[in-house]
Amino acid sequence: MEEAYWKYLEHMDSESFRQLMVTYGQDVWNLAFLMTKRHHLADDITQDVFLRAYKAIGTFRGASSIRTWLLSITRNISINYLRTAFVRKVMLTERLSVRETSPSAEKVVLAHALSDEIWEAVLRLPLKLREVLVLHVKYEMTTKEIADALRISEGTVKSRLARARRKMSISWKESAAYE
Amino acid sequence: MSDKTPDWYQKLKGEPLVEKTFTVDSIRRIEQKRAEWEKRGKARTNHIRRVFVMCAASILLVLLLGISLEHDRLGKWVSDIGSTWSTEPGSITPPAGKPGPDAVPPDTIGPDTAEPEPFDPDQTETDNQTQKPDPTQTDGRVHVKRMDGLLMEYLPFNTEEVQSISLWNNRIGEEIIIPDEREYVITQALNWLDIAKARVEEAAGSEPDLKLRFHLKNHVYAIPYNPDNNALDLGGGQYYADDRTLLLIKSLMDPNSRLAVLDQTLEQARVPAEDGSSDESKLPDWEKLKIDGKDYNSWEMELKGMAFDSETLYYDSVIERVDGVREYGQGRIIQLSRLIVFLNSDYKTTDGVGVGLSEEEVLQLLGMPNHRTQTCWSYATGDYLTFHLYFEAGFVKMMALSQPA
Repeated sequence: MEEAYWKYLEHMDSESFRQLMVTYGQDVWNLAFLMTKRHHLADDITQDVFLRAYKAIGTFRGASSIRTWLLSITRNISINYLRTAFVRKVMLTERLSVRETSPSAEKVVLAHALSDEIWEAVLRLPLKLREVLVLHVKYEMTTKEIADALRISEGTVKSRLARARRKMSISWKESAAYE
Repeated sequence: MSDKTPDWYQKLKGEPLVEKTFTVDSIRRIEQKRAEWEKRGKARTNHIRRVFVMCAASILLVLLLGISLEHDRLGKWVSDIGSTWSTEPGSITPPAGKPGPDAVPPDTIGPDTAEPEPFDPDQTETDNQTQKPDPTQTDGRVHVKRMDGLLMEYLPFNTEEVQSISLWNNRIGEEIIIPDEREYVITQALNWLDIAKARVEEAAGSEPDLKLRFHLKNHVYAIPYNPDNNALDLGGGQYYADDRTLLLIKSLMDPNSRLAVLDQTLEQARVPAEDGSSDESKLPDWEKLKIDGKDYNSWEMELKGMAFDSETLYYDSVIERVDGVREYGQGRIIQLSRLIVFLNSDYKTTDGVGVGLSEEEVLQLLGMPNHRTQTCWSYATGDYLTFHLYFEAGFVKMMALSQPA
């Protein structure tokens, strides 16, 4: 479907809704996963993102691409999920139990599922750096688009991106040295 | 930032997980949810329609009963009114298109409904000089009748298309432009406001003096804002704005107030340091980051038991409930959304870090911060930056503990 199609849509029919999910579903899921590091949360967030997009498509005016719009919603919903007391509690419990049993348990589970070791390094980044790096490199969003989505200045985006790259380069070199 | 693309960039273009995780089943599950949601929406609409029809029928029945019982008296009253307007000497017949004596005055805020104020020759010259014409007269009034959902879904404009935002003060006839870099505070507060959860239970009756004006390419929308209770008037009711909106508007309206100073300090701390310095390799001992022996959670509990000097309610879109910006101990502690700020040297960390210390002293006691902006040093506990020092002219101006998130 052409980009302009979404711009002038007031209501989404079933076919458009399905098309939106087929085209951008995996992108949305991946971002939710990279933000939260949790499979089940990524499922829930993806569902919320598309339901919200379905309800709010009339407000999309094409200031950005539909993909960028969806990714912005994904990022915001992911942050909300991460900040809820429930998730914080679950994460804290998980962290404590991981610390108590085996320090590398979480790492082992993730390593099995990840397509490349580089993603381990990405997931080790602090959230603020991780989201900027992923949006810029994986989703090819410009610093301006990221600044708009995150509601921060372009300068902050650039600074976070530089820090993320520095950390990634160090981490990547270290893991290469072990091989 | 170096322009050379690192070799690992290409690897990040691919999928992070081995298996495809968004499948046909995922699509079906979401479609099912959408269908359930629509069904609920239709059921609610039908219910509202049924209630409306029943109410209308009841009113009609009561009217018919009243008319049949009071037929004679009503007839006399109607004929009296007729004679007043048409035959009584000296009476004034209302001209066509003008409201009668009991007509309700037009809504002066709604678009194109306002009538210009008649010229008052008794108005003083000073009044004429200070009272600028009200530009909000032709603004589109945001009127939300929904009872639930996020405001972003029902605003008559897209916040992405807002070119500028201003604050109109009707009392003194002045307009303040909200700086570009702060606009996100307002748009974010609007977008994430939950209509059901942010509603003010006992809203003030009078029209607020302040209006937030949203300037789009060809139109301006206005939302009245009540600074006394930090509430946005959306026509159908008043709704609490978030804490950052409260601070921003305090900063614009009353720049010397405690909350305004806090807003300015927090805003300044957002500006990244020129070298973007950050080092999370060394985490300080988390015991060293407690203030008076307490971390954020302990302080939160402690403050619950303390009497506050003032409280202004706000809606927190993250935890999705109404909470309060509270000042304790004559402004020595201010509690915001997930942030407790200490403004006085009475409070110190175990090593004695507190308000008034110099940067050098802090470095000696706590070491390098894990993150630094132009005026704020932050230290991490675990994955999160939770202890913050805000500097002014090289000295700690205030300290804060934030909820790990």
